[in-house]
Amino acid sequence: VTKLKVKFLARGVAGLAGRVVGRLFNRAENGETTMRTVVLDLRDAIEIDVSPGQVLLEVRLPSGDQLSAEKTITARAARPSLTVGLAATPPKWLGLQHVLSPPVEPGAAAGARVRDICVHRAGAAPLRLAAGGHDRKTRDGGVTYAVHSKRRTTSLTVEGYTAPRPLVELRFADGAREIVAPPLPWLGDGGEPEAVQLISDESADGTRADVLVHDATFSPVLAYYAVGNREAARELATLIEDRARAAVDDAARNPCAAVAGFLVLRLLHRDKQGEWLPKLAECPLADGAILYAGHLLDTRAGRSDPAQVRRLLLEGRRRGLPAFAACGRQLRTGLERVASLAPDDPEVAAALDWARDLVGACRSDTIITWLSADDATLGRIVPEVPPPPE
Amino acid sequence: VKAAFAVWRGRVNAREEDTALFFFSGHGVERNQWQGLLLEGFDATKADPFEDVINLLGFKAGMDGCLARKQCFLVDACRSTPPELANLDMRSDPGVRLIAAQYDLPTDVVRDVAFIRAAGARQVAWGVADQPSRFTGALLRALRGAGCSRLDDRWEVRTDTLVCHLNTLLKYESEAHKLAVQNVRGPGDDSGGFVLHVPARPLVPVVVACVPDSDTARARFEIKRGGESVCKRDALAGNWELELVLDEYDVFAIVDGPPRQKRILAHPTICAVRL
Repeated sequence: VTKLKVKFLARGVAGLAGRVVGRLFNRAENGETTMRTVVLDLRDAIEIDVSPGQVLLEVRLPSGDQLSAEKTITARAARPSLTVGLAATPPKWLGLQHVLSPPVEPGAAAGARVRDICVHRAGAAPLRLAAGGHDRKTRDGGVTYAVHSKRRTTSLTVEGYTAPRPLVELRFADGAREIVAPPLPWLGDGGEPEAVQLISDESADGTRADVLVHDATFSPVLAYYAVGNREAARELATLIEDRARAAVDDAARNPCAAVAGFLVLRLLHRDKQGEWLPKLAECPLADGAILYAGHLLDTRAGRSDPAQVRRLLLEGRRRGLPAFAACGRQLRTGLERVASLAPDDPEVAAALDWARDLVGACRSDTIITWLSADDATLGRIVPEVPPPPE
Repeated sequence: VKAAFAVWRGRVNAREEDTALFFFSGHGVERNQWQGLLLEGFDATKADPFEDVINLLGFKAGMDGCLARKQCFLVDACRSTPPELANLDMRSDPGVRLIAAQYDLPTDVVRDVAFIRAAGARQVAWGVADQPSRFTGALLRALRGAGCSRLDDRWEVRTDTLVCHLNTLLKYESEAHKLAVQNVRGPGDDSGGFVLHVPARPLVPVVVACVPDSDTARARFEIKRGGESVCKRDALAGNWELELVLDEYDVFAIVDGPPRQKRILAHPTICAVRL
């Protein structure tokens, strides 16, 4: 057995952190071929035991791109190494996005460009940030809002945010508006706020939305999860199970990470175990109450108390936009099921109307709640964000 | 459709351990998270055009009331809003659901849903004249073996890894044949992953070409397994695309000079070899 040093190379990308999943095929000199899954750290090289012979490494990025490298290793090789890497160097501020998300397909019928961005915070005046032209940073109350634009892409990166969850409004050149419930605040492993980045790309199909949390532990799992690569997401999820449990335990203080933690545990089929599930309901976001209601609806014992299910779902509605799009869908389905018991319940009917509007307006290309609808619909869903004055 | 659904529902409502498989290939329309499947007879100018439209998410939600706890929805339909349907109002969540959501479920076993759609948001799912559509073509290749993942010593097509394999197949097809991009999306919120199919002899797509590309058309190719010839191709334009049983092979190309040779492991999704 020989130690093979494997490195992921991303030239010119600063601050890249996280993990990607690959498969390593090893054809030993005796002709026997083995295959195993390997997890590569984007920052540091790893060492893998291989048998002398042929080695083929395939790494599938969340974008769907597949990188590969192969090498013949002899028994005499002292310190064999293998490198896989990105072919192109992305802009520094898009480094993580370039690795973790699908690139935009250029097209003639591109969507409208973001003209400006408005951040709506509870108890504070809306903060208006201009987009387009050149990159700029705005500091407000210890929080940095960085807007970057390049060709078809506009990005807002929020750093140092610890206040209650804001809503971000994107205003486009054609007059359209979109409203995002960003996963803010997001506290990392050490309790410090992690940066959260919203990205809007003009593409052949209109605009493409993406939300990234610069949390090296959670972000790769969520990226693989979002694009449907559950095998890779589960592989990484097994490595962060403890962090996911700790995040759920800390739901009251760090609600967005708690919901992500729940998704990770669900990937691992651990979501039905433990006494921590009711902690989700303590999460101040709508997501917590909705997920706990969904858990009750899954079991006969839970369903035996429809009043509690109803209360949790209405509480979810009362708390406003869920951070995760899946929770909006779960709210609608849960309310439909409760409404089938009591079709004349006016509170449930009103909440269901709202949830239908919400799901109908929610973009389907990101796992975060990102609304794209006409002003009237946005006004019904988020009346706290009125249309801008003419 | 309603009558056929009633029969099918009877079959998938028999046992928890059953798998319900729903496959649709046809026209679809989507706005944000509302997606409708257009049935024969759909007419946007009718008083209620949605009476011939399946409300896909409503249907999927209602299917939780069926006893089969493994459910796979394969939806080969566009997710764009064509201009001629731009005026349709989908805000009231319209369309036929076929089965309504119920508070109670027939079992406590949590449903495992693979919800796999042929295109990304606002994308078109492309058809091919006189052939299966691109998604369905890729799905058939995946089920033959290209979509296999290995668990211990067994190769099986699983719902939680199928999307990756389908995207790799479609991406290769787009790049090799200069076709539009099409991204499969799934498997959805409630997917744990289950075995959809176990091919007896998995067949893997193999693509053989030369370096430089200009040599490919002049090359004579041969593939051997254990020293025995498996297949050959004379000089022809274009890469050699074929399917081989999952195994190790030696690939030979004769252009000018001595034969070029490479040993390959033909494994899912696609095995590309350049000589």
